[in-house]
Amino acid sequence: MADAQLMKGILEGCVLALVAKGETYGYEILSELVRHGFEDLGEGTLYPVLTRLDKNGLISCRKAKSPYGPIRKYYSVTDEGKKYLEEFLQSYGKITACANSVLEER
Amino acid sequence: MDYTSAKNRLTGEYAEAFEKAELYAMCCDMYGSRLNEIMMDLADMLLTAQDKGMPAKKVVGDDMEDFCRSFFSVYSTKDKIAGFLTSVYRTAWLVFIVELISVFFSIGEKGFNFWTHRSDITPYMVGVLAGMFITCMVDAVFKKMMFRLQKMRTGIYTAVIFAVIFGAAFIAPMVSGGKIFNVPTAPVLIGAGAYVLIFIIARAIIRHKNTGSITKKGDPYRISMKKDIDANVVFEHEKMFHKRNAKLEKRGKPLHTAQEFTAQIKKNNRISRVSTVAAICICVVCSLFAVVTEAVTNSIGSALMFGAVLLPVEAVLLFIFLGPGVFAERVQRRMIETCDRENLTIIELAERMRALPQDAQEETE
Repeated sequence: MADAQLMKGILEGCVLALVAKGETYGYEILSELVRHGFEDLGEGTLYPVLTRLDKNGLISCRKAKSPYGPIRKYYSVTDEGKKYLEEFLQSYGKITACANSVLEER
Repeated sequence: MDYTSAKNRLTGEYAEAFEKAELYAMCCDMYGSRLNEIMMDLADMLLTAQDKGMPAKKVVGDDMEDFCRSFFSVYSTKDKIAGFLTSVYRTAWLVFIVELISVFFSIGEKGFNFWTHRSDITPYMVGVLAGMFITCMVDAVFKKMMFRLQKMRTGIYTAVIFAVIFGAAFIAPMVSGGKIFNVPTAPVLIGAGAYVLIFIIARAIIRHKNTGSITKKGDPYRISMKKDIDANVVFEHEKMFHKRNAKLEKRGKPLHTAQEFTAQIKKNNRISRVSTVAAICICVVCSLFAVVTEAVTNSIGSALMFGAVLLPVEAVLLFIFLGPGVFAERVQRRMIETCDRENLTIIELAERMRALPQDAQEETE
């Protein structure tokens, strides 16, 4: 449960950071997250995050046909998303620094 | 379902995961374009994972129910309301047409008054409505249990729903003793018509806002479906071939070759085409006979009136009952023509289509 709560906010920032690197799609984002160690993360968790980011205007979505047939959504970051990512990185840096300081003194 | 083409390309654990998600959506009363979009996203993800060799578990996790709950959380209350309003729209069309036919057949009656007229709804109609209600209730109570039944398939689920509806339709007249229910025509006809009209206008506005077109033309998912339909038919036939051979193998009979199967499909397609033409001819001849009989027994004016009502109704019924068959026959014929042109069996065509990238598939079609 603690993992899930921790993950919720962080994942949104990580996904946004991956999309900010350049236009990408669901599978690519999932593979990148797995490569970085988010082993147990499935599409079930990622998909609502992408939908939420899109709904909030932080990423935009272009629909085009994938080489496998279905329509694929290609995501790219919006200006609002870039701004949000900056704010997220600052907040995240501050929070992790504080948390590390507390946890190291344990 | 628009995503069936993509679904047919999934195999093994990927197909199983997709089927499970599909069943979950069905059990939770999700439908419409939003569901199509969600399922298309899942299909793309699983197809890519299948091609790149990523295990299905990396995509859907260990607990399928947990995955579905989280994945379909994007299907919001707004989508559910939209889905409900769409099903009401379809029912409103049905009610509107039934009431309209009732009015048409009563126009000539002595003392007909539209505002006081009452139309008969047979117990069968009441039975169908009762069946729909029972299905909704059963669905709401048992949907999660049905999802947990590992052997449950979407086809079985649909068959159960239809069995409940038709069962109720036939039991209702027995229970009511054939009693006919009367309902006032005007409020029902006007109410259903108004709902249909408002729905069409609202849908056009929303479509224009989303796709820039008031028709379905601008919807990328619909465009994709139109392009995929031939490939889908080829894969469906390939599946049918393997299914038939599996049955033959079970019975210890000799298996069909791909050539024999293709020849059988060609023969069935010819029979289907001839049957459709014969059915239309029989209907037209019967209608003409009825109109002529009316002219002989009553008057030419009455016969013309009868014909004016009968022909459009008959055309609509023919379109409803024969339309899907004609469409399927045409699509199948296109596949057969491709096989003949390329000198391939249906199975060889399916294998070739699977091996080619999607763009090349469209060129082949």
